[in-house]
Amino acid sequence: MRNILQFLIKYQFLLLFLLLETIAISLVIRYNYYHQISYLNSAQKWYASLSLKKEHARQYLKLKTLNDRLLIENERLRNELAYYQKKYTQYPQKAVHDSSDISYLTARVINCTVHLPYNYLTLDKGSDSGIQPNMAVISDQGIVGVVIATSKHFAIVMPVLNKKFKVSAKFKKNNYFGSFEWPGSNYRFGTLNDIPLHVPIKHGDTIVTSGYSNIFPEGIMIGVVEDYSISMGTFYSINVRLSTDFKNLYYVYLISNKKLLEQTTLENSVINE
Amino acid sequence: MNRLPIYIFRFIILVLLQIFIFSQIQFSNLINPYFYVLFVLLLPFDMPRSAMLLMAFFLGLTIDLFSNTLGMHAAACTWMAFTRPAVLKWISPREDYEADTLPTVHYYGLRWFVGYTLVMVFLHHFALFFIEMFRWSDFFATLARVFLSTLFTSFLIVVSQFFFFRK
Repeated sequence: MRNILQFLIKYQFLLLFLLLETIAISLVIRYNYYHQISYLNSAQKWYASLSLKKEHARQYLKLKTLNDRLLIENERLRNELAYYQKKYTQYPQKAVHDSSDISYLTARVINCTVHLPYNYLTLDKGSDSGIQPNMAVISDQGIVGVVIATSKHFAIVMPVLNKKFKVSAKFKKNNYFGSFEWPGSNYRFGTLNDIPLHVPIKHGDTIVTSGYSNIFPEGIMIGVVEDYSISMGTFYSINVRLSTDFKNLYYVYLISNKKLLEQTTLENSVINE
Repeated sequence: MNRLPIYIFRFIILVLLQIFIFSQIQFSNLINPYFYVLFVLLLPFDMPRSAMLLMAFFLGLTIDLFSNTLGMHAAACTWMAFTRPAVLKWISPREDYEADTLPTVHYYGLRWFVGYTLVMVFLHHFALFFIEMFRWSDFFATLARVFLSTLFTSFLIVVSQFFFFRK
């Protein structure tokens, strides 16, 4: 103990310097968006290749559960496909044209945190596979997040579990919409705000994306109503149980919307005037 | 200890000057003077080194809060204060620093002060600009900014010594 104290006193100048620099640099990375992205890009390039190996091992052990989940999803998709095939037999051309605006890519999650106020995910595919910033990310269970940065072989996703994340969400049953965000504490729950008081709410109501944000298409599952309270006397603040379990997230789908650029350009041109 | 109010006053004045005047000066993005580092330059020789680090950190943090660059100036200033004892030793005059003197033009002459200012300001600007860029890819462009800004800041600091810090 005395030796430690002596060491601390002897090198106090150097230690204090290192401490202050650590504080300063972490402030830089934490509060400056550009620095955050570069840090994640370079630091995670190394870390990601390591996590990739770890994930290989982990997924092998989880193969059975994963297979089950994929089977269930396949079954659902086949059913939907059959339904739409039947529905669109009269207009086969139109069906193909509509769906071609949106295309899906798959990727694997190789790194994911859930316990921080600003969490990020890393995917095992990057710009080489056609992933670009602002793509929506979903899983078979529901919404995941949005791509914020890509390198050649990796992509960083800002998930719902990030205090900067916001998405426009609505009730599936009656289309009342509000703004959905994550308060930063429990990884199972998010908050839906701005729902007016006359909307009837029940425990278990389904919340989906509204499609008003350019990134997410309409109708992607977010979660179900757990409980609700009145905030500021004018709106409900609704506690939503997220449908996506981020601690159990392996495969994700990325949605690329070919008309997104066209839409945002048009919208910005109006706003700028 | 009767010097303390002077340093507090100087701290406030330098922060205000930096925020309202020097941070507004930008010649084609190449020259950004950071005049406020003068505060660290003029700290007394006999100040405890750890106290100096804390002062510099706090100074940088104050500038950061007003210029929306949280952490960058704090890191650069702390680094500058950390190197100050070594720099002072390196450029010490032949008969070493005398007791009861301050690191100013009036005690050690123009030549000494210009050298001291150039080295310290360069160390600060180098750290600051590279933290700001946060990558090595535009190394020489950033280095050019560092040199030009160092010259300009040092010029301002040396000139200011003759106008405002008369003994």
